[in-house]
Amino acid sequence: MREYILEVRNISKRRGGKVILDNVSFSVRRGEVFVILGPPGSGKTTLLKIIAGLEAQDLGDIVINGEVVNTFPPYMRNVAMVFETLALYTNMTVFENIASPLIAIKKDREYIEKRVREIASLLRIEQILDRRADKLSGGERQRVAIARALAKEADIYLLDEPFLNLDAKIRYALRTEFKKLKSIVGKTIILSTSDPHDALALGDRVLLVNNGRVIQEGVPVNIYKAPKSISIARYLTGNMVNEIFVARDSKGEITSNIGRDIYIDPRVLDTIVKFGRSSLILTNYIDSCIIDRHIVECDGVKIRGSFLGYEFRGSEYLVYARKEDFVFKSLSRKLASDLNIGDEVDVCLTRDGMLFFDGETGDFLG
Amino acid sequence: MILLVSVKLVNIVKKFGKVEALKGVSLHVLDGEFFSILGPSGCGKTTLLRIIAGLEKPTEGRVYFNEHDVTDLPAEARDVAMVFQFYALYPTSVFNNIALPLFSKKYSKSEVVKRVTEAARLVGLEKLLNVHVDKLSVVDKQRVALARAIAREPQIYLLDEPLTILDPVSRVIMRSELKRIQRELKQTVIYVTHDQIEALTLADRIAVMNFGVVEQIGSPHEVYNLPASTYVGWFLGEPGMNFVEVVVSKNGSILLGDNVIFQNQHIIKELVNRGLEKVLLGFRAENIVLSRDIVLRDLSREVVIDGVLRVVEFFGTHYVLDIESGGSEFKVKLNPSDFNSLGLRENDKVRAVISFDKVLFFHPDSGKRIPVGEKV
Repeated sequence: MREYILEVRNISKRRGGKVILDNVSFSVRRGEVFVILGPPGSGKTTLLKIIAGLEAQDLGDIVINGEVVNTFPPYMRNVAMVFETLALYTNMTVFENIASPLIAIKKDREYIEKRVREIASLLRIEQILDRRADKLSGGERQRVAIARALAKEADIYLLDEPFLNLDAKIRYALRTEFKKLKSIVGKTIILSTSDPHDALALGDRVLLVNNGRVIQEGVPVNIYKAPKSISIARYLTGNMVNEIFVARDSKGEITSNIGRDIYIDPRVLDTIVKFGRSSLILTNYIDSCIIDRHIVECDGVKIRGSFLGYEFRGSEYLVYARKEDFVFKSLSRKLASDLNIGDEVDVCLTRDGMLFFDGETGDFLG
Repeated sequence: MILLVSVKLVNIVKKFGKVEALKGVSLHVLDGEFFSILGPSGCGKTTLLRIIAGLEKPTEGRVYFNEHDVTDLPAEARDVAMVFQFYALYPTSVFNNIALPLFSKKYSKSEVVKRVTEAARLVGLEKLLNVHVDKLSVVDKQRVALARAIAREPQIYLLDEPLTILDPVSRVIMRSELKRIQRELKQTVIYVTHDQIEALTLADRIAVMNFGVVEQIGSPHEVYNLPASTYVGWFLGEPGMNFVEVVVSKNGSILLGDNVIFQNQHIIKELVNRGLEKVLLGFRAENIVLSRDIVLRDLSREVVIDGVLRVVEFFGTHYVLDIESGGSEFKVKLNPSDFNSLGLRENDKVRAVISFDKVLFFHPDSGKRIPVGEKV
């Protein structure tokens, strides 16, 4: 059996003179959850439609199970595209919910009965088929939503923004349930999302797209640890990244965008020199940054700033500090109790969690 | 002169046709308190705020400001100020926007200038008084809305998700300022939000609502660490609190499936005395120590659950793991270095250890917390 169930080769698409997809290539393994992540308007939906055969590409090939399917109509590709979100119709029974996509494509009653029971048995919800959706527990609701998404028989399921407009708690639970059921269902699932949390938490692999182009592809942890550019780091974290811009002048002296009042550990200086760039962006994710009244030992970059405020998240605090117009954020289990807004604090971007980007291009260096 | 006002709601019921939006809500907001009403959309929190403002009349129940029954008073007679998520500003200067409600109250010109200047100072707009509001940032526009409320010197401030439209950093700045302003004014603020971080960060006390009912009132630490019900535990935190159903055995053990996970005669006796054969154990994902070892533990001080790792989810700053044991599932939150040092893969056997002081008991039917063995 082939390793890749789907190969997308050099797909390009224009619409009204505008480039929607530009030479997009990637491959999806059998049985994996493959997430296409990108901001709204980045070409995700068009890509899924081209895979499903609902829209034609201008250039490139779609290969399913080793066969070029460019000329195949949708029903011959063994691919199911699910447009709706995973919200349930609360006025319907579980059976009706799962059957609704099959009714929409005019399957006969006998087939629907058989298929609904089959998928319900797979997801262990056959005993609640007659119950109304609004009478379900949270876990049951999630399973029914997934069952409905997978009701059509197919080798590959294409889910377009399945978590869109769902309440955060439900979204969270659905993602977990999805991941749990992955091995039971045993099908290949390709889903699109604009939420990096969905991609990181759910994807076996992630394809990052923007403006119709592939920006990065890989396992979530690897993309997070080594984002190809500072823009990706910002996007993945919702701008929850700390940045300091440093430049080397003609004498080799280091200056920063936050002035001279900055301590840079010699080992970090060595790294800056090693990269040999005229400017760099030094960054830390929020869990690698420390903000406290006084930090004696900082092995990365230390700045004196002022305490801006905090968020209490129950299990941790997100602490904010500022130095002039630059804001720094730190995730911490504790908060110095005597801190008042405007108090002087130390900000330490630790060396361990430091990522380096080229100051001019924004490209990842290491 | 600042008049401190408390707000007391007694058994407030509100029906819209057949729908009961509020089902007998009683609460007491102390004078000078920053009080938050927190709940998901549709829980009745905005209706409650509108009833306090006098914009809705309760179907049943009474509203008191201090000891005065204001239930039948119209909104304009209650002297409250509301600030909404979407500010409505007039297309004129900052000064005029803050001053307009004062002109209608027929204050002298000098009084208007004094009040506007003071309100602008409080929210940090004193240098922008002559600027047209169209030229302001979103944060400053919300500041104008706030200053307009402050200039009126109302008895009570009612804020309905006023920071939702701001970006995360602006929100932090405005939260800090709101808190500082409230401390300076020392006035009662009732703040409605669906955002738990907002409520946990800002409020002195929080009322957590669900389907028209107040589930719990307490300080941010109380509602997070000692939830009164499974709903509050689940609603607060990401992920929410774990709940696993366990059997209370008369021989002094607590069982999850066939496994003894806890043995403490004193605690179990208390549960048995309450006639409970089953209870829900509640514990937070971040309070679990996960390991691969199976050395003997002291089951009188710790809850020990052996299980199988089913799902690993990566969130950048942390991992969330789903563990299955005895037909139940629970989540563990780990930082990346702890996760990596364990070298875990899906379907590996793991041991979860929870210190007993991090475990709560809940009634299996009502979902209410049972105060057994708690160090409060």
